[in-house]
Amino acid sequence: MVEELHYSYPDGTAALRGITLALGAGENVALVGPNGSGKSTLLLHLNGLLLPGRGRIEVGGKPLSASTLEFARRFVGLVFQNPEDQLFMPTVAEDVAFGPQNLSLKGEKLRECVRSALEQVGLEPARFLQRQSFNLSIGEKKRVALAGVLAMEPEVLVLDEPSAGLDPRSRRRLMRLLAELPQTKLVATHDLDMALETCTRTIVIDRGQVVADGPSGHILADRVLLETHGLELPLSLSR
Amino acid sequence: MILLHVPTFSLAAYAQGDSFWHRLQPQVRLAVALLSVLGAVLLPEGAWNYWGLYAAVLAILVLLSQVSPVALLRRLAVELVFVGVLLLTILLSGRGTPLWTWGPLVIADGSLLTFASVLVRSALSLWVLNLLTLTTPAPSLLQALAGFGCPALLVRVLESMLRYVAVLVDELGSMQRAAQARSGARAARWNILGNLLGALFLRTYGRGERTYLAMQARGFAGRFPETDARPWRPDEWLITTAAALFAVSTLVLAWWPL
Repeated sequence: MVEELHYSYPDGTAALRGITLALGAGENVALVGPNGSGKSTLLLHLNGLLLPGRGRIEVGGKPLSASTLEFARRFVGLVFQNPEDQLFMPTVAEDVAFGPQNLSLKGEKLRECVRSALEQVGLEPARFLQRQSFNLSIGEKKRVALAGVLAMEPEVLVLDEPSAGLDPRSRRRLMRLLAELPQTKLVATHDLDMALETCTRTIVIDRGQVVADGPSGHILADRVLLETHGLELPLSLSR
Repeated sequence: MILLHVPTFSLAAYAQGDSFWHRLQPQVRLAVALLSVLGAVLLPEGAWNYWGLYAAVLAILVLLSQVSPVALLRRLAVELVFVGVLLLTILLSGRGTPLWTWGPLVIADGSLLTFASVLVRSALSLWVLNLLTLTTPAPSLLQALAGFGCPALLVRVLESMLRYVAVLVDELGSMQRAAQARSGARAARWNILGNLLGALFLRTYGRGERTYLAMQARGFAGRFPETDARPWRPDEWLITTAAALFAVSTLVLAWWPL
């Protein structure tokens, strides 16, 4: 839950200006808005990478503060837009193991957790565990980055532009995968067709404020609303 | 010299083999390699027989590890050119009886002996290090270093550097192409390259920041997790001990002949 969240960058630019939203357990929510609307900044707040300038964030029923950071980072898994930023360990196995190791998982339990996370994203552990991170295709990198977050078994998945840069087949695979994952999901995206297919609810933000929040079928069919905020109808609805 | 190997780290072209050498864990391979380098380097000047012995053992190791001698020689050739140029100062230092004089350049017997000895030492060391880097991927090598007590933070920093070399090279390549596409010049000019490197530096900084955020998002709180290492097998102990004994006995025999 986010209440009246304000945040300004160190140079004084206001990025978020009074955002209020609540996510229920098991919901699939799309976060859409033009470039620079504050989507990524909002996502960074959700597991405490940025702390609110003003306002309140509650994660899993606990208010987010320096003392609850560890809990929040376990509760909310954040998948970054560019997998190169996230995959910093030399091999897939080590990278996926990084999160659970920070949660003090070791030995056989750790290996099992890594294998299961890779299987969840559809990567065969036998083939991928020892692959070097820089040697993967962009689609594979995205899936490994997702596995790295799933391995921490978060309750909420927050994804920043998961379908950006993917070819149609990889995009389709990602959408199937998102539909299968049981976690609560918040997906920031410009891919409104994906939002329409995978998310039941859509939140539109612009200039750091929530301008619309409701069922995807309703919001994403509202041409005037979307065009006012630098978006356009999903292709599947514009024909 | 190890810096010369950095670009080749990711090109551990023979890392997937299945040989006696490959079955040794990276830490054992590193230990054997370092012992051989130490043994060969500490031998006295002109210890040709002992160096011959080292060369023979290394040749057998190359055969066993199924590394292509051509690939190995190609690497050695490039590296030895660098070493040779650096060693010219020793060759021309003029110590001992002059053998050949050409203007101010004098090659004397003492300096020739030192030059040849250092060259052979370098060649043998590079030989074994190339064998190691060709057969062992960089991450495993760095893990092996950590196993020998190298500070974990240093190992992680080196790992990240290696991990991001490919990304930086890619970025530089795409910026260079973008610059060329707008400059009309066939190759980027020096001043453009300077700007590109500046931009690359700034991007590196931004990437570092984002990577750190991503690490924090996965619960990183300033301490890297320990890695679990497999204990050495008896045959691995045996091989390392044999390498140590070989190095020590050649050293003793060469310095204090019977």
